[in-house]
Amino acid sequence: MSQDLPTPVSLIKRALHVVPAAVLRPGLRLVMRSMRRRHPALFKRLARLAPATILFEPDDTPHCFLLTIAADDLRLTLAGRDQAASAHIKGSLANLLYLMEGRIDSDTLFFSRAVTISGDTAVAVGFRNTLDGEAISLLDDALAAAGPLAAPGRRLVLRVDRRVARIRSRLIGLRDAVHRAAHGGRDMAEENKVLAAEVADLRARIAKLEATSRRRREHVA
Amino acid sequence: MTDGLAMIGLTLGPLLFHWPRDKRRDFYFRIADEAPVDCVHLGEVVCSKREPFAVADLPEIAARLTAAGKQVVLSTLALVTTPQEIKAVRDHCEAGFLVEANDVSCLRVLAGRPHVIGPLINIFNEGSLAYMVRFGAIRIVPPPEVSAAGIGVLVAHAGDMEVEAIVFGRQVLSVAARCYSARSRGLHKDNCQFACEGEPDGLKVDTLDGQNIVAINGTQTMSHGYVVLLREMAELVAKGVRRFRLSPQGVDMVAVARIVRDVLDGRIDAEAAMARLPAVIGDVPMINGYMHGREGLAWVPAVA
Amino acid sequence: MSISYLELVCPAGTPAALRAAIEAGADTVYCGFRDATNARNYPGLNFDRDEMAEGIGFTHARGRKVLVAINTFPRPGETAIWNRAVDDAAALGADAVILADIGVLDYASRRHPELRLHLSVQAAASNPLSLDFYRENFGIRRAVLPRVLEVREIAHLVARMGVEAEVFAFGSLGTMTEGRCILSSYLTGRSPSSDGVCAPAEHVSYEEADGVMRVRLGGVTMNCFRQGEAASYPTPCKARWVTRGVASYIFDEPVGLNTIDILPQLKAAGVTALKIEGRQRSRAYVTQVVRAFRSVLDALGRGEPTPRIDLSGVVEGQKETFGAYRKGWR
Repeated sequence: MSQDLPTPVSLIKRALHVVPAAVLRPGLRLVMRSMRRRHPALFKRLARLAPATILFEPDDTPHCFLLTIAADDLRLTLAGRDQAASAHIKGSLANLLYLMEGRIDSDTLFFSRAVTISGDTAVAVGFRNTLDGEAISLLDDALAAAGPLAAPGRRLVLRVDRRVARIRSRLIGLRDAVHRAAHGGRDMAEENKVLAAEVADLRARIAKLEATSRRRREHVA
Repeated sequence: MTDGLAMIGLTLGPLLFHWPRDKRRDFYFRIADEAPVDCVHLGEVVCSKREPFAVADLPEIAARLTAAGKQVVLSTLALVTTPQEIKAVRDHCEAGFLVEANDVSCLRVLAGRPHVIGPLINIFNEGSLAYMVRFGAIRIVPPPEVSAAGIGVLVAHAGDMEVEAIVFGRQVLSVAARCYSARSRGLHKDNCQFACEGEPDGLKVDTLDGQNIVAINGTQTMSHGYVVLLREMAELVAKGVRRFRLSPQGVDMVAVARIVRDVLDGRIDAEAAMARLPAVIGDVPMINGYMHGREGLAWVPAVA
Repeated sequence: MSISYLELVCPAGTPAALRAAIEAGADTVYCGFRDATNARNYPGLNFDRDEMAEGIGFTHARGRKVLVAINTFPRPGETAIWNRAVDDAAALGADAVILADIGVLDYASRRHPELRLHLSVQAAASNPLSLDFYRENFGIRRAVLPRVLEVREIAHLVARMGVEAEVFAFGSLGTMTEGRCILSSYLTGRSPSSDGVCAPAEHVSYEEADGVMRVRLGGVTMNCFRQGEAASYPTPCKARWVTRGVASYIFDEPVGLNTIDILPQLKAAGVTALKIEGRQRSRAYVTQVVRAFRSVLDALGRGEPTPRIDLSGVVEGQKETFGAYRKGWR
């Protein structure tokens, strides 16, 4: 399922800006339902932290996300930035998703201040450890469940789908690139420099070819 | 307190700070002559570089203490790593005194002989205690973290072994190989120039907010506050503790010993003793958290 | 499996981390039960009995080993809990248990004479006499050496100790002698010795104001981090303190131990096994670190040049040290 859907982090970010709350809310419910089906052990382990709430505050999206942990239930809802919660976890959407993913070491994110926590530290640490204790990809799971986003409000979703398809055609493969960069150890800045140099070189050559072809046309004409 | 308390022993624990030789002599001579303690610990616990100062006058001091009717116990180093330190431990164990072991290596040497288990050895529970009883220990000082309830359990399993509780002085909070007194002067243990000598009561350490809660004493950290358990002594005796220890600080230890002995002998009660203490210790804060099962730096004002 | 240059012993804080460590090339993993019997008793970590059984099965199926850490000190009246943990570890087929408490060592050696006993670093056995004590009285087969010894001291010790030596090779480095530091319980009432926690999360608070992050333990300020400054664990030994009017990392800087460049010296000193610290770290950390050490150890084993490894990203404080292994640390 996740192969069919566009999955770059920036795509999710775009979707969060574009998709109305009325569509997001049931979407989140569906995501959680799908995850509970796929990872019953994780839900059982997380329930040990109950009762607790965690507010995820991405710096770069319009909404925050409140995770409510009860002994028998786990809910993910939209929330405002002033929402009270046992613990708060802040960072860019990308870093928060990496934190959930567990593919980047969470302490590295924390030591480098890419992600900050406040409030009940035990809840935040317990959540991080519990999540890390299951080798799942939240990104894959959330996007696998995003298919059913199509169910409510078809017209809205068709509009989103078209925009999404446009973005996908421009950004296809970005997710893999992001993950490779995250733990491939490649120097992206260096590669960008090389690419930029190549582009500049190509531009110069194209300009030369165009100039030559213009001269030929004028000559013929 | 009841009559039986006159039988409660009072120990002066080992001097944990680095005092000049003369100051040590004077201190111990006065203890011998004036302090109502029946047992005195000698020896160097913190740093083997201080050992020559600690043992320089040891025979004379030991003789003076013994003549005054006080039992002499030799305390060992807390962290033994070098061959020289191991040799010193062996020598102490052969010196003919009762020895207080503060490092597990000493147990190897003392096996089968009567000895004291010091507070820096991790005997926390009845299982380990039973083992040490079989091993020949005759007295144990539980680690600082053990609460009154825990001490009660230990006493119940100690058999003939005496359980001794520390009721006065700074608590040792950590043992390390690195010297923090030296580090505070930009030096290392190897070239320390005895940075600790200028700190007869330990070096004050504050938090960034100016909270003064910890002290540095060479390779050890200690509480800034003095443990004061005068109010708790009655409960500990009721649980079966038969010996209390005073850890020497840079205050009038004879006065401290007199106050505690007066409580034990029933001449004053714990409240009167607490009223006399500030005059002796000045404005050093008092702590008793561990005994009450709480964080060590807490002060619980009255026994529940 | 071929005989390794040095045995690589890796942390398994959770079932997922255990699988990650094995898949990344660990020879041996170490883990604990979900209670105070082990020294990483943090929320969300560790294994219940079923998960431990699964983990041991997974590991043994791949020809590797599992060590169960039961390395804290029972409080008075609690010894039965620790003894039961030893019984369960033995019943589940653990290859060894890692112990520190004399009473638990006594129980294990008498009740389970076939069970391999390793001496935890928390037993603070820092010299041949201590190791003799533990070896003669409890039959320990291996000891984890305290991180306060220089390499030449390790060599001297290994020659004398008569049991295998396991040393820390990577991870967070405490500056005090393990098992002999109660600074955490002084501030919070919870102890590395009996509760298996240092700077437990429920007593830690992070507060950001005006670009400065202030971290407190038990309500006592441990550190302040400016904008952009790397943070670290809020343990008292890595805190900033003021001595003689000067604020500094008087006990130790927040740095992580990394011995990847001195492994030949450790092998020459007679060490049998390398221990990677980090049961409280993520599986991403475990994968990255274990893979790095595996590749270097394999190269050393084949006598080939070792690959260049950069682990600075996952190191505490983002800075590395050889710790006490090099002279001059004290």
